[in-house]
Amino acid sequence: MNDRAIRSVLVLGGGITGLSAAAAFARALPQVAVTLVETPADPGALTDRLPGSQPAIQRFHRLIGLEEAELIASGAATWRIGTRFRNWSASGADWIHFTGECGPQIGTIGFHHLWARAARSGDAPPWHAYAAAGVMAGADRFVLPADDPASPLASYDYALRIVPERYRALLKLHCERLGVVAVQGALGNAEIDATGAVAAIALADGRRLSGDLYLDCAGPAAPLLSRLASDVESMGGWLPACRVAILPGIGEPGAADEIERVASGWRWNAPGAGSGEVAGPGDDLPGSVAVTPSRQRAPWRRNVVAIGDAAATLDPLGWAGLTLAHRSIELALELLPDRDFHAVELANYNCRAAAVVLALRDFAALFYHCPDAPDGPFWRGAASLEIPPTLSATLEQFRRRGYLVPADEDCIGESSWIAALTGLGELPEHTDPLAAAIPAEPAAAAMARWAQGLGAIPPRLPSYRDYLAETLRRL
Amino acid sequence: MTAAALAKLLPHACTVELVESEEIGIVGVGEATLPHLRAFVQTLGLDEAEFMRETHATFKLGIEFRDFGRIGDAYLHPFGDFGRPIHGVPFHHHWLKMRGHSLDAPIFDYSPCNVMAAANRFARPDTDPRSLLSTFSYAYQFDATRFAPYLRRYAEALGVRRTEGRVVSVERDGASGDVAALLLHDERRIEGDLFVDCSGFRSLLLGDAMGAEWEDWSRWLPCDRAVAVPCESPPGPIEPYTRATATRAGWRWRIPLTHRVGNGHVYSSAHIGDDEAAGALLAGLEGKALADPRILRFRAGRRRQSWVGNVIGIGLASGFLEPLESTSIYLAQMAIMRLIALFPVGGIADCDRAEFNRAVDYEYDRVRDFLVLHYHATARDDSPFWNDMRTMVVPDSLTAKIELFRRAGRIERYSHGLFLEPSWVAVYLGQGIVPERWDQRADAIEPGQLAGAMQGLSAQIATAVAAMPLHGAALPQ
Repeated sequence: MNDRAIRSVLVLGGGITGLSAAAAFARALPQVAVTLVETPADPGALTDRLPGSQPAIQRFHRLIGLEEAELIASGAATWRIGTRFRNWSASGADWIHFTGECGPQIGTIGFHHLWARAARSGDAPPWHAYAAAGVMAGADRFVLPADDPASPLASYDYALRIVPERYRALLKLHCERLGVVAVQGALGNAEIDATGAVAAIALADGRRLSGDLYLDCAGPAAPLLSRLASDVESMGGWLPACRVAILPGIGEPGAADEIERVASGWRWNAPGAGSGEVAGPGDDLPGSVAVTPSRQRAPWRRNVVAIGDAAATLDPLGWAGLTLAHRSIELALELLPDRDFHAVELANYNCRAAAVVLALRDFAALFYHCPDAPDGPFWRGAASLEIPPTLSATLEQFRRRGYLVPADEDCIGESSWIAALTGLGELPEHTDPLAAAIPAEPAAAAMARWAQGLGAIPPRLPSYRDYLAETLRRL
Repeated sequence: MTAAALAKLLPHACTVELVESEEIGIVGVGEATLPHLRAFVQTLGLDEAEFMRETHATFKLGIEFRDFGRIGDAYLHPFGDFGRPIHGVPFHHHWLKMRGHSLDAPIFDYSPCNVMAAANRFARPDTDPRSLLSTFSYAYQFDATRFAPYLRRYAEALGVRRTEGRVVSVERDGASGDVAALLLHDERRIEGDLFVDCSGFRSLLLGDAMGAEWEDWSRWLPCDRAVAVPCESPPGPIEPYTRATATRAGWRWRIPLTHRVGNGHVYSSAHIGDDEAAGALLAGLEGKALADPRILRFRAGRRRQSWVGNVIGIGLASGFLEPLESTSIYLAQMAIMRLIALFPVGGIADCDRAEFNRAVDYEYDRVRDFLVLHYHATARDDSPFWNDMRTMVVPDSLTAKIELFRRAGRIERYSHGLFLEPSWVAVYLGQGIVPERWDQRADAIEPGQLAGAMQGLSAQIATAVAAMPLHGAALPQ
């Protein structure tokens, strides 16, 4: 073993972000002592309180060795196959956001080119009607993806809708199983050594704790990282500042979440897990917290790395917070330096972590530039926001010809981008010349067959509610 | 390549006219390719066996570098992976760790390509992703002077109109500055909406007409000449790999084809004279020379913009990186496929040019760093050339990459484009840059268990390769 290897890790923050980080480090580095300092929860740490995730959460659960069956059985999570957006498109029509494959594969052509051509020339069904996930979400039916790759039910993704308190409790149990030592207390002073690194932290009751590496998972204030330095870039020029209220979920779990644009802002319901409301910064929303979009330019300094909300405050749209937290944890493990914390290694982490944040920022910003917003100060404010240059290039290329600009560290993925762009009402103006080589008539016939085939699926599937009940009985 | 791809993929979007001159001829040193060319061959719908027979092609599993890190060293940069990740941690970290536990087999023993190359054996990769033999790829070594006419016939069959003639001037639109027409030596006038400049170093349209500025990289890549000569194949098996042997002011290539061996000496004219360079090449031939040595002149760098107005430079007209890693045809192919993805619809938009130029620059800059590494990561101090290379100030981007690897074996990750992790690992380790430590996650596995798994892996590769046909027998008959 390397004599400069990390021997101990102190994780600050007892919410979902901190527990996730502690579990991941404990599992990947069994020879390292991981201590979790459960500081009092910051209500502004939205990632610890929101119900949403992206399908990449499954990869994270594999990383920490948490079985999906246990999550479902304990009521900590349910499946989510899509999100229904209401009053949030250029046409005003509802649409369903999903990830995963869509449409028949015709040659090597991206199906969205063929769909766009059909949509321009008439009344093609919406994009989600060509995806198994979209159809199942629309019909509120569900089965887990099939193992048989030939089945149309093999190629869709699903995410987990987490029930924050129960999910937190399960992560806590999992951390114990992995040997994480938990300590309760509030952060007091931090001792900084001569090199500018954290030597130890004191808790408010005087206890002193130290480690080789500190993970600041304690919310947007980044209470530990900010003791070293804080170089915060505002993202308020791209994303609206807002107030967010988190409320109990409405109704029983179903295949899709709902998000609706309203005059004061927008509302979501993750049935069975949580609901909430987003409004302008000046709105008096009971029980709400202020969200000021921003990011740390250097989330890793010396021996402190900020994870999740401590690294960046993003808009709740797209459930970016947990995605960012998971990706930051994976990257920190993949790029873990030794106790020298060499600048070139930290710079590599910071560069990649910044790219993750910027792609998530662009995805959220996309939604605020959808036309026909309700009239109200929140939406007038959103309309005055600038479009980030990278998103502007994405929009310009997509509007022109359906080309997607590749971005490093984009955790969103092409299928999710296309579902959002098409759902919001962006329609490429021209047919990509490669797709144009496919005659419209056979393409239309293939599309019709595909849609018909998908349409026949839901009646054969159990309702979401029955499938969940049956699964819970079996577990 | 451009005309063939446009004619095949965009038959309804454009008509293609190919203007070329027999007088000028094909440079044709690009005989070694990267695995990406297979995708191009497949895209065009060429029959691999026919294509290989037509171009006297052989299979290529990688490039062997001799005398680069120090005289007497040799390693093969494989077109494939080293081992497989264990618990999500790349194999080379486990290998680095086990060096401290007296398991000292070279990492190259865990790469199917390297073991196949050493045994002169070849089989196509397994299509089952679970198989260890799915983790490699292959390319071709071929006769470029036969590839171009082969593609020309292919393109003409698809309706490309070929005009034989020499371009003497370019007519530009007064208002837009775009190229309106080419004027040929016999006063013919060729009009077009879009002009693709594949005129090589002369860069007739992009450089001369449109004035795209040249960014010179010769301070990092000073080799500016090559002398090339084919020779008869020596008796014995045909190697499924290209060899690059460092010389005192550059390096020599050796590319075995079915009917001959291609040879060349790439060198820095500031460090060695033409006659001496040619003499060194001829002295090293393994068979009778089949032609007189031919000298080629070039310089490393790229145009700051590859798409200006309605002119797109592809290949040498847009940039040049010496053939050390066989990237020239790849870079042309990459630009062609990007042009097709961004082919103008309803006129050319600024965003098309911007995205094309961004994508091309991204590739050139990264390939440049990889090439510079081969010269800089050396202990050689036997000539002024190598002293200059060893002590030069390399691009900051490369300094950071080397330091990152030297610390703990990490490779800067590219989401797309060249080169991927195994390539960097091969050159770093092959040229003596050995990390001080490894990914700490590798310490989670008990050394005895890991040693068993690694020995099992190399034995599995050795057994599989022993059952493969010899390269010569695997070639299309």
